[in-house]
Amino acid sequence: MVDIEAPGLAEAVVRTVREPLLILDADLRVRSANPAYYRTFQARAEETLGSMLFELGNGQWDIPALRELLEDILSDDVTIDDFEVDHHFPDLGRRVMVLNAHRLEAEGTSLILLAMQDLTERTLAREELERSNEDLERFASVASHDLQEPLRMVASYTRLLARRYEGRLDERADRYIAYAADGADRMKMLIQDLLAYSRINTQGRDVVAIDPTRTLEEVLRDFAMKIRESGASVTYDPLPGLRADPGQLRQLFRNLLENALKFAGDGPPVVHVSGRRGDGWTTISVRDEGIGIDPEYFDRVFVIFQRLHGRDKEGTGIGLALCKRIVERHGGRLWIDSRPGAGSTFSFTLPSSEDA
Amino acid sequence: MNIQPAEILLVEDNPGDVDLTLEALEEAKLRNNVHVAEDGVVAMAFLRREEPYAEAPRPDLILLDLNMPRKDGREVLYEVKGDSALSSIPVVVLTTSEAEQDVLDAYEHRANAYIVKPVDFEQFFRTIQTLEDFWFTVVRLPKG
Repeated sequence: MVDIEAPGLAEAVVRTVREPLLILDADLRVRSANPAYYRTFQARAEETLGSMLFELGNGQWDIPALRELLEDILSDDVTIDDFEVDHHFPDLGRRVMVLNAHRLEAEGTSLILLAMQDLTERTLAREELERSNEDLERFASVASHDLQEPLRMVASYTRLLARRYEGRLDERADRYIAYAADGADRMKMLIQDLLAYSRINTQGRDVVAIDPTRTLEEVLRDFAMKIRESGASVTYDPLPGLRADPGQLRQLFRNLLENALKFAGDGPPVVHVSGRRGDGWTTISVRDEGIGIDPEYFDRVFVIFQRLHGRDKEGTGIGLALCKRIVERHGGRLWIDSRPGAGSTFSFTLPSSEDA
Repeated sequence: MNIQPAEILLVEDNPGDVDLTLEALEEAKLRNNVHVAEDGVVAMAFLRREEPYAEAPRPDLILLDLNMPRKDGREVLYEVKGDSALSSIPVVVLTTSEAEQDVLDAYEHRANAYIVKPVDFEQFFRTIQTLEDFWFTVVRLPKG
C-alpha cells in the first residue's frame, strides 16, 4: 500500500501520465504541470508555474462553468467527473476535452489535481464520419427520389408502346420494346429498393413492443398467392415478444421470406420460422431447406448490390443489406448458418419486450 | 347515363403526363372531351372564359398538377375554390408530390381529392379510369 500522502507522490504520478495534468493550489495557481501538458498546449514552464489557471494561455481556461466547478471542489470536496469542454482556444483552435478533477490534501494544504483528456482528434473523426454518412444517405435518398420521375416516363411509355403497337410492327420491334420495358422495370425495382435502404435511418419510426407472430402472419398473408403457386410449406412457432419499428420488422420478415422462397432449389420451398428469448434479446430464425450458401460467401450476401446469382433469379441485391441495416439500427445482429445443399438459416436478434 | 360527353380540364405542364392521361381517358368507358392547360395562367383564363377561351365549356372535372411554371396548382386551387362561380367544380389534385404539407394544404383549400401519380403504368391507367368512373357515375354533384 502506497502512502497517498507520501511527499512527491502526486508529482511523480503527474509526470508519468500521458494525459495533460495540472496540480493547482487552493488559489488555483499552478503548482506543477506534467510534460504532456506542456506538449499539448505548447506552453513553457516559466509562464505556467505559479500562474493562475485562468490566466494561462491568454485566459483560455477562463470558462465560467469550469470556474464554478473548481470553486465547488475547494469548498465542498466534490469531484469533477468527465466535464466536457468543447472550446475554441485562441492559439490551438477547437479542442474537445474531458476534464476530471479531484481534491488532494497534501503538505497541510488543499491541492487540486486536474486531468485534461484531449478528445479533439477522436471527436473530429467521429463528426466527420457522421457527416459523411448523413451526406451519403441524403444523396441516396435524393437521387433515388429524383430518378423516379424520369423513370416513370420511360417505364410508362415503353409499356404504352407495347400496349398500342405489339404485333403491329415486326418481330424485332416487339423484342426491342420488351427489352426496354424489362430494363425499366428492373431499374424501378432498384430505385425503390435504394430509396427504402436510404430511408431506414432517416425515416425510421419509434421502436415499440410488438408481437412478432402477428407481424409474421400479416406478411404471410401478402405472400399467400406466391406460397400457393409454388406449393411452399411455411410454418412457424409462436414467437417471443420484442421491441422494434413495426414497419421495419415487416420489411425484415418480407425480405427474409422472399429470400427463403426464392432460393428453394428444385422442390417446393419449405420454410420454418422460430424464435427464442434470452439475455434481453429475442432471436428469430428463418430456416429454409433450399440450395444453401457456401460459407465463403456469408459476408458477401449482406453487402448492398452483391448478388450471388445471375439474371435467372429476380432481385436487386439490396434485400439482405436492407435487413442487416434494419437489425443494426435496433442494435441487434443478423447472421447466417448454411451449407450448400443443406438449406440456410437466417437469424436476427432484436431487444426483447418486457411482457410476453 | 349522360348523353353529353364529360368535359375535363387537365392542368399539367409535362407533355409526357398529358399524353399518358389522354391515352388513359381514351380507353375509359365514358365519352369525354379533354381540354389541356399547360399552366395555371392558362387554366384560369379557360375557366373564366377569357380570350381566346370565350367559348370554353364549363368543365365537369378539373385534374390539377401542383408544380407548374408561372402559376402553380396551389394558386389555381385557391382561386377556383374562392370563386363562387367555379367553386362547385370538383378539383382532383394529381401530382408526383408525396409531401404531407401539400396533401394537407390541398384538402384545407377544399380539393376534392388528392392523388399521387402512380409510378407504375398499369396502376396509372387504372387510377385515371377509376377517377373518371367515380366522378361521373358514382358521385352526385350540384347541377350546372
